[in-house]
Amino acid sequence: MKRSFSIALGLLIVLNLVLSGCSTKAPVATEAAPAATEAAPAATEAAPALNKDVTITWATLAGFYTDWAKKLADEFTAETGIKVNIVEMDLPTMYEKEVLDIVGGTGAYDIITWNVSWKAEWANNEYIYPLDDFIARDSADVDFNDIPSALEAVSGQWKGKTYGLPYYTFTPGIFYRCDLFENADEKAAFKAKYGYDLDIPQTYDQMADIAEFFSRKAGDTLAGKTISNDFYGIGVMAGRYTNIFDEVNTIAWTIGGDVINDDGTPGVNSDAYVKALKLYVEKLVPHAPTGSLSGSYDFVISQLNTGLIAMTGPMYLDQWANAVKAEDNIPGAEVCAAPLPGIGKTWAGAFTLGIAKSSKNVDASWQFLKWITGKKAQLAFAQGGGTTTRKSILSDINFAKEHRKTAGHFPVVSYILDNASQCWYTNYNYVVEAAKIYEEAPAWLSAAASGEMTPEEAMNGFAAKINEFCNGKCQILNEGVTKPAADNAACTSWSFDRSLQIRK
Amino acid sequence: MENNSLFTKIFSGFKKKNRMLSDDTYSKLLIIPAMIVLAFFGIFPLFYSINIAFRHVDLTSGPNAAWTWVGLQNFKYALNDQIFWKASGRTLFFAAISVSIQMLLGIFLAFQINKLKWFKDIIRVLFLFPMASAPAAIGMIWRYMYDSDFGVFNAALVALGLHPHNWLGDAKLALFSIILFDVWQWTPFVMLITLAGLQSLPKEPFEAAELDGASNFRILSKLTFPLLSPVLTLIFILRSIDAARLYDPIASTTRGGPGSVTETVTYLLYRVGLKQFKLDIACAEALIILYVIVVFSGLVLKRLMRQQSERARTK
Repeated sequence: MKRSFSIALGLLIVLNLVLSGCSTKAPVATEAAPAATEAAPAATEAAPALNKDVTITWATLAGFYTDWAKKLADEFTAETGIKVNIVEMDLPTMYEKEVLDIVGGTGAYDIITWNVSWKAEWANNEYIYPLDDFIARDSADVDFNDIPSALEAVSGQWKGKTYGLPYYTFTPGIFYRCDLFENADEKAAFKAKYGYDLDIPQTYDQMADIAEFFSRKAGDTLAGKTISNDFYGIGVMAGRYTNIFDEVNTIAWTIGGDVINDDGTPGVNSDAYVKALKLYVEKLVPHAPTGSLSGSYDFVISQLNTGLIAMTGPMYLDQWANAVKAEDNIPGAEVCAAPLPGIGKTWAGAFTLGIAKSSKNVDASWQFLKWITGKKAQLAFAQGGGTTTRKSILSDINFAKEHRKTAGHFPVVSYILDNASQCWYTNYNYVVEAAKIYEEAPAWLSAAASGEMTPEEAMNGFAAKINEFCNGKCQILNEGVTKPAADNAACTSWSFDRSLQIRK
Repeated sequence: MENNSLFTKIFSGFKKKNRMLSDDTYSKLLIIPAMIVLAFFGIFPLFYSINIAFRHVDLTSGPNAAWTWVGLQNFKYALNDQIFWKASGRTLFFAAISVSIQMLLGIFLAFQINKLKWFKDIIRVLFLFPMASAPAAIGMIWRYMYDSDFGVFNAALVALGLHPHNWLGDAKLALFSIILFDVWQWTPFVMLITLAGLQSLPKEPFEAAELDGASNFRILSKLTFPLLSPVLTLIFILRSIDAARLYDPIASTTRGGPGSVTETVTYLLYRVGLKQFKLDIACAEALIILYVIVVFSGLVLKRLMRQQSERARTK
């Protein structure tokens, strides 16, 4: 028995070695998308009714945005017969789930959702279909000009081709308690201490001053009232999530820093970037609630809603519908949205939809993609509390006034995106390794924020990793991209029309 | 005891018809399904990983990238990777503290519950809840309980007039917060297995010891623990292996932070393999860890087997 068992085990091992040794090549991507050779349907007609047995699967971000999408997907099915299966994913795990599906060629997901940082890798590696032919065929439905150029360039385009259409934007700004900022006593005290008026911060040094000013202990006064709990000047997303990278980059871009230098070397250990990180670690984090070191954006919004902080740091403005709940929870509170010190020099980006190369339902996927990013669905999204990617809706002041609790931030977002189209450029968006850099960043930035390493040590470590990812210098594939003009006044001075804020 | 599974019935019938089928062959046939499952889900992935560990494999290096043979290069990288060594050291520290507390607490609880006359079964069932709960869900709940601003732990401390803590954000405290979570979740496992072991011990030696007037301490040290040692050793090995593979609590609470103070080696492997998609490095590092765990388990089991052999010889 022992001998025959040993023989059987030996055969099993040999068989496994042979089978595993045979798989030495990466799976080959499927063919490029078929050209749309059929005549485009007239703009007024509904999408052509396709095979009613088709079910497409959309991998997307879990959250209230997807709850909205499920209702709209039913409408799409009623119109076209195409069923839509929505698979929700938590953002921290979305990247690898989608990559594994595409690389493995399983075809589990037809439409995939990506964050700005993943686009370069996916487009360059041919994980997603170029959509130009589809867009040209269905140009009336897509109405490309209604998508902010900054969003489309950053989120959906690569080497002159369009790979995706944005469906909701998280462009950052700042949320602050305008009732506190406009309180006469607080304004007088601030002016006396800092020598300038308390207002929306126009630089990050001013943000640090305001954060320090509003940090109070239990028993101190705030807006004329004695507080029973500690109050903090700012909320930051300093936990080990990609949010911290978004925050620090936003600061760095304002003072001339960048993740990747023009020569392809890492910029994270440059003087400007380290200065930005030091400002974050030494002047913002100390004035944030202690939970910030393990928190992400939802914790900061909760801090605002429960009256714990006076303002956020760089925060995704799509969280407006959640942020404004502070007005219901805190008597006398009013929340305002505003641009950051760099205005458009921030993540002018969106979650974007594209068609996976492994999809077996390309045409049906395109039908849904153009539908969900189209005006009708985007208007419904906006009414439901989502931050649309349609210029016509974002810039509609009357719409924002009518739907203040869900769309009150739209004019501010529109302003930021206009500014971004003129003023924002980062080499990082044109580097194929951006996805890896994005996923690696939190470990190093969190190490600096928590004090485990100094900012210099952390950034030197991060720079070494970037070198490893790029095998030396990173290749910046930005041919044809126009950088902002250095002498553009809109990009060098801060300005903001207060009428864009939809007040209570 | 008769095995009445459908599979057994079919083969019993087959055996009756074919008188050439020996007991030996019959038993081999019965374990074939389990071996097939083990081969596909255990052995094949293991050898696939070994193959990858000797090649350059980056899933995001393009659709036509070949997996070139690189020999021991990945292992050299792993052995020189300070991040890997720090994560390994951290994991060892975590496992040593967490498993020690679980063993002591679990054994203590088992002895106490064994003495109970009433509600023993209900208590046993209640203790199953931490282990039976979905790790990710439990992790999320603990993350909120630990929150510095809104969490129930700090609320309780403040209510008692004590100082609140930054459980998951303080670099000195975060790993211990994870240890507490792990102890809460897995002490019941130690308790339940130890309790089962206690309840299966033969009564005669204890009766004889009591008649001889042995003290409780002498009974514990000379009878109970030596008889329980196979069970306790098994629990210790299983818990140590599990602790070395810690992932779910980290993913749902700290994600390895703040900084990297709670990044265990498995979480690092996840980052390297599924965020950076450097499957080659991840497989090489995983094999190093596997080797350490196998050697450790082998040494502990060898000691146990030697003790059992000596005991059998003296009988």
